[in-house]
Amino acid sequence: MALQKAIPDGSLVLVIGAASFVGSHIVNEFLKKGYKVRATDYDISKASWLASSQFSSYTASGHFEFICVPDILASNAFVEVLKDVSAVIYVAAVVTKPNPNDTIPQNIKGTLNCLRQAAKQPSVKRFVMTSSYGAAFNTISDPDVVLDATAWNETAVKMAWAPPPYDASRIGPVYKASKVGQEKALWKFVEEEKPPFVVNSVLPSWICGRLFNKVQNPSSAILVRELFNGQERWLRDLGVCKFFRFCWEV
Amino acid sequence: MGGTDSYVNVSDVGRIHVAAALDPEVKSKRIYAIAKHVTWNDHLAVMRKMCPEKKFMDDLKDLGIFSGKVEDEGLGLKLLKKWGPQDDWVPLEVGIKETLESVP
Repeated sequence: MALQKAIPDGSLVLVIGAASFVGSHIVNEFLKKGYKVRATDYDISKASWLASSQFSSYTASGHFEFICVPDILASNAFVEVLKDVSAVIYVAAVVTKPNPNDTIPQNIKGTLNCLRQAAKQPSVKRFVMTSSYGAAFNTISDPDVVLDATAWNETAVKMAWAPPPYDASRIGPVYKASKVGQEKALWKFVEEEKPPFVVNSVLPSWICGRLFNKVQNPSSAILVRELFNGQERWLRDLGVCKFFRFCWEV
Repeated sequence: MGGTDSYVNVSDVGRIHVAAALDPEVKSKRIYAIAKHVTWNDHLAVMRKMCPEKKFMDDLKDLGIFSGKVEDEGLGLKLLKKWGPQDDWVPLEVGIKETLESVP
């Protein structure tokens, strides 16, 4: 018996931040399931490979298209790309910088901007946001930590918003705090605005796997390569900090 | 702490996003996508097996290991099984191999 689905078979799914490591795999999995995908990202020069090589057969059959959305904060940024879309997958995030003012407000605003515009598009039934398990907790060896619907990494938020100097050690906390801010804004929006679609978030741990294209940022997967190459100093000394220098789009 | 404490394959992350959009029973959920709690030493063990000739660094000491609890930890796996095509998370060995083949 066919599984009951929340969105129609073969309908159009919008993936925002599609050129990223995770975004490109989300696109791939939707296409394999027979859905049509409209992909967006902010820089066409880093995303044109999606339509021209990686998903070229789907481009030819009309199942895949790429549209550049250069500014996720623009007031009508998503209006056109939301047309006829049944589900929105929001992967996008601005490049993490040590200064929280350069990242966190923009990511929160971008998420809310997309939610508000999606709420006006009646075809949208589902909204999925890519978060990180770093949004939920900070200390891995804390036996009291319970990752549930109410787990928030307040430690990272405090570290991110601590007074200057904003050096590289702040990138990790800022990345996590940004996901906290984005997700809290998402759930607050759901509670207060009661949008006409269902919302879920996904909180992945450390991600490894196949990078489709060399222009992509390998995100956390770079650690596996560096470990293999024996670049051990940072593993011992810098730990998580270095990871977040690479991790800007999940 | 000096490293990872868990892993998940990017294709499983992709599939869980798809399930989060398709599954009528999953509503207002925070879905944790954690395949397994591992340390860098588990990565090193896989690499040593993959390349017995190559010399790797010694195991790292004093690595933290996740000791908390994940509520509804099974949801991610449940969604992978329900929406297919596999019955389990992609193993760490596969993720390491794919990463090394594709990340320069």
